[in-house]
Amino acid sequence: MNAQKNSGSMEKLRKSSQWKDVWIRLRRNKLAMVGMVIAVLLALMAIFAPVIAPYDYQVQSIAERLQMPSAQHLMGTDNMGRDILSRLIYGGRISLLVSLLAVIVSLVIGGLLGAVSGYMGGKVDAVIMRLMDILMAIPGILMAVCISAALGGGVWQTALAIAVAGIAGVCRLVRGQTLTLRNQEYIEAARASGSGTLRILLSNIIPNCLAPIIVNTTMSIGGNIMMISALSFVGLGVQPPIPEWGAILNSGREYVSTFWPLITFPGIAIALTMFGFNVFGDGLRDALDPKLKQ
Amino acid sequence: MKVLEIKDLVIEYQTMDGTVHAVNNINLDLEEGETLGLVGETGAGKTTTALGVLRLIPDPPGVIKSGQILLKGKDIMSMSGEELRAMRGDEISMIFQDPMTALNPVLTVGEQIAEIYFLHNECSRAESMEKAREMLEMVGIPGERADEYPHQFSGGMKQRVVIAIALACQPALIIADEPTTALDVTIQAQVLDMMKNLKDQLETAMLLITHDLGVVAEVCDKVAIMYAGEIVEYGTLEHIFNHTMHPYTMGLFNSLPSLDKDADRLRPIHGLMPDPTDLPSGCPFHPRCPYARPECAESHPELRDYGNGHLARCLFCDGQLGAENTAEEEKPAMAAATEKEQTLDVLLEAVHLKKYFQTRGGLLHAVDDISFTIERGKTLGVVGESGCGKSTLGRALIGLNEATDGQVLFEGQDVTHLKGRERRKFLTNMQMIFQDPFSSLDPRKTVFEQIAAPLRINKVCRNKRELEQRVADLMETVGLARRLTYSYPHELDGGRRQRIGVARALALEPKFIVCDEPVSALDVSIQAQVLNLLQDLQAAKNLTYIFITHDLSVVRHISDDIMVMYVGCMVEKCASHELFDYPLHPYTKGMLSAVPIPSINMEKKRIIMQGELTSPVNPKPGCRFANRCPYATDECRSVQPAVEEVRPNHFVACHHVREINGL
Amino acid sequence: MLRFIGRRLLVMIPVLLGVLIIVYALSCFMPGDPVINKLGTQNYTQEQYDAMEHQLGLDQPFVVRLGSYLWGVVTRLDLGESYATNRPVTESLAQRVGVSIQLGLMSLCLAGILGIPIGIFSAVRQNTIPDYTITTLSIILASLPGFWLAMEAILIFSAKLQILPASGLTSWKHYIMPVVCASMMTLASLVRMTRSSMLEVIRQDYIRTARSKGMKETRVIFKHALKNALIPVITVLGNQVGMVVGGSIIIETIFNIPGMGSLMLSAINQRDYPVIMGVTLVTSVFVCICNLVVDIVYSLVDPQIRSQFVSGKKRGGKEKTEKEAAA
Repeated sequence: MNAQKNSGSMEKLRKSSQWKDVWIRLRRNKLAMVGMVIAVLLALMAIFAPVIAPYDYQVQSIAERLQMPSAQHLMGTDNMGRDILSRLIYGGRISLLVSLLAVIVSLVIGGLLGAVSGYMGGKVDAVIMRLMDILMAIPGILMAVCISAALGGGVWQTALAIAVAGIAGVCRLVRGQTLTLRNQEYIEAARASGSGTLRILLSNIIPNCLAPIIVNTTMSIGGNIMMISALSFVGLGVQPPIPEWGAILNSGREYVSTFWPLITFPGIAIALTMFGFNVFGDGLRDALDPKLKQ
Repeated sequence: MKVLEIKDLVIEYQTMDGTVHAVNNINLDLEEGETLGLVGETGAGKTTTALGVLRLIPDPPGVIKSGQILLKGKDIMSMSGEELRAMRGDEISMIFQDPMTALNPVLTVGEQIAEIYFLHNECSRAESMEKAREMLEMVGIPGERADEYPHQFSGGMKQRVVIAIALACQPALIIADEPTTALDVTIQAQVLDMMKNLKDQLETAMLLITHDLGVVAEVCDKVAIMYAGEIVEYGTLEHIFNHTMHPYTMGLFNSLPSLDKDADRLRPIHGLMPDPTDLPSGCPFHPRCPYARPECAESHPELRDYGNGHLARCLFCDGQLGAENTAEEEKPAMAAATEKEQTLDVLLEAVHLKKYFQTRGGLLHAVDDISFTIERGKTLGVVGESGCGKSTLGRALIGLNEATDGQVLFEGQDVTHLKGRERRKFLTNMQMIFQDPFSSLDPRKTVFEQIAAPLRINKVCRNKRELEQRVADLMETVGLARRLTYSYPHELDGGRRQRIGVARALALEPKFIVCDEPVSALDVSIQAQVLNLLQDLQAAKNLTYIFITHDLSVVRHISDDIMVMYVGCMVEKCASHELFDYPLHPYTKGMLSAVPIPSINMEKKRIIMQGELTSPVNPKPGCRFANRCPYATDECRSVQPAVEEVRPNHFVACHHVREINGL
Repeated sequence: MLRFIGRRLLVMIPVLLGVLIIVYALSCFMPGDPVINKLGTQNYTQEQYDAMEHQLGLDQPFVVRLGSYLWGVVTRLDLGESYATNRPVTESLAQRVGVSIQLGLMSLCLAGILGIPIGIFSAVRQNTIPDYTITTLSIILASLPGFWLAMEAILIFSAKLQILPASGLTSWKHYIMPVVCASMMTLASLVRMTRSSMLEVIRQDYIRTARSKGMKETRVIFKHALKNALIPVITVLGNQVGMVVGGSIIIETIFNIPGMGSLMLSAINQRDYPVIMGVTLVTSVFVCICNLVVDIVYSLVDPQIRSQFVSGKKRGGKEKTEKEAAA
């Protein structure tokens, strides 16, 4: 009786230990923690945007246009007299949402294609890889521009455009991982125990690809946010009046030599986000790397 | 004159988990032209000592804490960077363990040898290249191959190149770190032979690091046994092999399966090498020592001279060891079953089995027309060098690589091309234990999950309770402690990991297990533990094994019958003792004579087989061994010999087997 | 070697055809009606509409249109006519493609020439203050979008300091800001990649062998480590080509440079499909050629790959199967 109880609690303890190890290593990395704090703050800001934002992001006031930062408007106002800070806060919401959607879509499609391609090999692999060659030949941003132009603005359309541009990268990553894993003896051991292809993919291969995928996903969130801004910057992607960092930046182009807040603040927002996710991803990579375990 | 003196050397590594005491107070010296063997298991501090001599310890995290290293009387510890560089490669050179990674892949081998002359002899580029070619010739490689890159050479050839680099400047001392461990036994014999000759020719002293007592017996003059960063015994070959004093050294010898006698059970050293960050008090070996007494845990023994330079580090080794403390003796997992049944009951039969792979170079004949039978409850050993197709054979039997042609019959039923549900059902009869205990376990699954996986897939257990019970039983059977149930593989050592592999294979209660090199990645003491486990299980459950290995002493120890493979073909098959006593095929003879024997009392004649394995890709007609065989005739080169029963139950594939053996 | 290049060029053909098909298919989803655009008015009769549709070939089924477009491209290098200007797309591209490729190549070169040596330096000086500075700076740089950098640069160097021109491409001074801005992110990632690759190589056994031969550390680094460390870096450089080119197209628009970027943007606004496709195709060709160059450089660095060209074998396959069969 007692022993069984013990083993139960031990199981709980043990199951979490692998992730606990990762967390302990991650916590030692100060830069990664900075990145994580940035990411968490950004998420909170996105969720509680209406509570945090000092003004409505839509209210225009021509009388108050292009004001320099002041106590009233911490980051000044834009060419329509809207509070830049409030627009940035709401903009973060959109950027993060679209970026997450895109990451999930490209992860699911690219990950599945990559795993199948790597594990099955042969003709399936050849076909998928040629398709990916084609996707890789079109620069990501041009691809996103084309798709975005074809599908029109909007959260979903933009997410899809960004996602397609990211599929090839994920696919290659997962395929590479799968190829190395495929020749591992534990995969053969699973086959020798009677596991079928699907079971091996789901229960052996994908969990073991997880570490690089997590790292890649983290970094893609940042990268996607930049891509979204680039799209809105050229007038595609999420359409006004929804505030988006790239769009705000674009509206500052006219005032490039006269009014710096409209350029600098949205730029810092994009850069800070990317920085956060990049260093967090870097830290995760180190923390998840089993080579560093010793 | 002393070439090398090491005095009270202490080397530590600072890691996150604490200070690793890699080398503690080592004293060694080496006379001109002498060979000293530094022996020990993984983690004993052998390689650290060697790198310390060259002052190549990676710093951080490594630090040479104290001690003196004298090379011909010059203190290496006080040398400047410039002096050190002048010494390395010129006066001391090093041969590293793995020839696959020791050479730079983007430089030609010629450049890599020539560099030594360029650096130390102020030769011009052309001169250096010329000397490099000469050096290559000296290690038995045609000089014109100097312009080739390492990937164009086989493993044995690469190691020859590494040796050429080490000998280039005729150094006073060579440090060889496991120089032949990565090589096949016949290639190892060639390389050892060459090293011995060159060393004598150049009068070089050598510090040979190895775990293989057979190699030591073959080439060393003196031996130092290391354990947990200390030397525990030191003396001449005669001292160590015939008057062993330290219990650890005895344990090493007892763990070794022997080539020349049939021992029923090995006597392994129990437990594991201690954690170098947290060494036990007193004698570091006492937790594993069968003779340990309470005093051993308290006082740390000194290295004492027991006459004629035979040193040992043990409180009681001068005849006071007393009786072996057998309390720790690991009980056989189950009471041995009654005598093996004496029925001729064929469990598995392979009929003209073939497995070919399509490669870009052509058709690779990995397994080429092999037929054999295995009786229930017996062990068939399969031996051969790397690339001979023995692993592919094992995988073809269990269906991991579907056979190209031929049949596998299991209890008379054809199981060659089973699919889906039928295959899964069949797999409950037949399982596999894999070679590498590090890559054969899914790193993200707990011990429980690893063992439970086959049970889950085949839906053996009705509920969770039953599953847990089954896994617990299996763990007990293979000697894994309950507390490890939820550990991850990386938290365990090689021996325990391999026990998980065994438990996983046993989970479905198979009748037949393919063991693919199950002990070759393990240290000898751990290897002995696992071999004992396999034998106990076989006795208890009447299991049938195919035991694939390259290690002849292991195969002799465990097998009833042995099959020798060479480049995809079976060359000889017979009962185990018969193979060792009356080998008939020239390849078997050569291979057997190439194995270094850990004993100095046997004079043995060595047949050095020249050349290397022929390629299994699009093999030429004829006997595959013809290019290395001293007896080969035109017939051998054109007609592939068939397998014949030359003596009762002794099968050989050789045209001239009768003439050669006078039958 | 020539055979290898030839084969690689052959492989490019299906890839580029695929690019064309994808882009052509996408263009059919684009909102807005090119026929109405072309008519230039909302007041048109059905006949006028049908006539224009027929003239543009838009009344035929998708596959036929795709086929004739592809045929035109392959046989006559005919990318169609711009809906907006009625001029052949090839013509307007020809005027602009040089500028864009020039900028793209310059950015790539800048990133490579600076990034790789800095990365090596940083690795050799691992855990020193210069190394920390370089790694920190490169993390920050890798987070700055090029188009924002461009605007800040204009703000600072043109508006405030007035030392560099903000638009056009007439003197060498005009190149500085666009090239630097387009290359920064790639530069940063090259530094990071080179550094980590170098650190990985330095840990290898053959570097230990080299050290045990008694050579100077500089020789160890340059003779033994560098080539090996560059192999993965070259791969990354190849993957970054697309990013640099795409990025520089956007940056072009900020500096009012008459390259493909502004052409593309105006085409998107006017739903001028042939131009969009043309720009994408040209960019993809450029990316493919850069990748070919990368592959050639790769083979020069890695003898394992080079020897496979000589014997006419492709890499990978054989070794794997043999490994499977052996052991």
